[in-house]
Amino acid sequence: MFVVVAGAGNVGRQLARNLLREKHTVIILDRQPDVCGRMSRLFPAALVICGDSCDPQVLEQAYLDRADVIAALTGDDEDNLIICQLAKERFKVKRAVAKVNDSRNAKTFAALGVDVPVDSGSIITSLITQEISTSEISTLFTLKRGRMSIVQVTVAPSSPVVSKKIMELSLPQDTVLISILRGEEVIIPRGFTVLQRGDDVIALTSGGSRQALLDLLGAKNA
Amino acid sequence: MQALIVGCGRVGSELAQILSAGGHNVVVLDKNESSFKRLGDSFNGATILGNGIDTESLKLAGVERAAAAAVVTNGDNTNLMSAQIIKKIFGVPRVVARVYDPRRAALYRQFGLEIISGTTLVASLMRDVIMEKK
Repeated sequence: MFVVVAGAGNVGRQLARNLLREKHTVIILDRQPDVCGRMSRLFPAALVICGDSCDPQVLEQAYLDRADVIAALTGDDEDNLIICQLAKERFKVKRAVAKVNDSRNAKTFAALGVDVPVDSGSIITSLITQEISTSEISTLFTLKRGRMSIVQVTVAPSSPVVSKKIMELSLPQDTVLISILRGEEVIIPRGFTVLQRGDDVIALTSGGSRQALLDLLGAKNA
Repeated sequence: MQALIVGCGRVGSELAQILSAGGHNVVVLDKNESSFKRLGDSFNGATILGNGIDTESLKLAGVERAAAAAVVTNGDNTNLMSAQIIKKIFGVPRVVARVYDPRRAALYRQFGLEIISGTTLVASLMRDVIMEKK
């Protein structure tokens, strides 16, 4: 895939690294010459262009007409919107992804043609909230911008699920048990698998069902 | 007519005074309180402190009742974003934005926005004066 990354801050840099590792073609745009110099030393495989990403001529130099995806990741929401609109309207790029710096702009981005507005502030807030409110459950991985997550919960001695078969449990909505870690053993759960105290349960769950899962397996609702 | 002006710089404040003197209801939105000083004592419209790309600020400034809007902050991209919000999300019938960069001005005109590019305008006026035959 051919991806143009506009804005080489923290997010842009890490995205470029991931994409290059997966052998995608990457062009990096940034308006600051010193940042561009650092990027070209860091990523010899990428083309780095120094200029204003909102300038149609600069976008043309970045071969935007051939790009599959534009990722607008500057710290300025106005700029990110304009970059995406120019990419889509002028250069016919199929997919425009933008970082939303101020959460209030997320809806506006969607209404004005950005395919995927990534609201960094609310994603980070929701992750931090999850970690604060339920420390007995830990997040291993998040999907769909934080809406689903893969979590690990330890079965408490007082939990109602101890010595029960999985088929007997009423799991919260949108929740699937993926595996059970018991000592050195990794168990792929089936309906007849019996849970024991101290089992580490790995599950896929939605943000809304997280607490219910903890209440079921953890110590809270004893 | 109710008119919304986003950005109270030299152009915004001048336009606000002209429209207000012409008997129109004018609301001026700017993110700096001090900008409103430019409006002078004779201005009898309203001023709202807020951000032209924030839908809540625009609502406070009466965007839902405005018949026309002019977007004249000092940022091209801010103006383009704000003008699109006012036109496409709030459906204000007449919206005009100032854009300095002639290339972005030309493209967004093609996309259906009313744009005035001071840069092109002044350059061509200057050209006319220079080339004028005595």
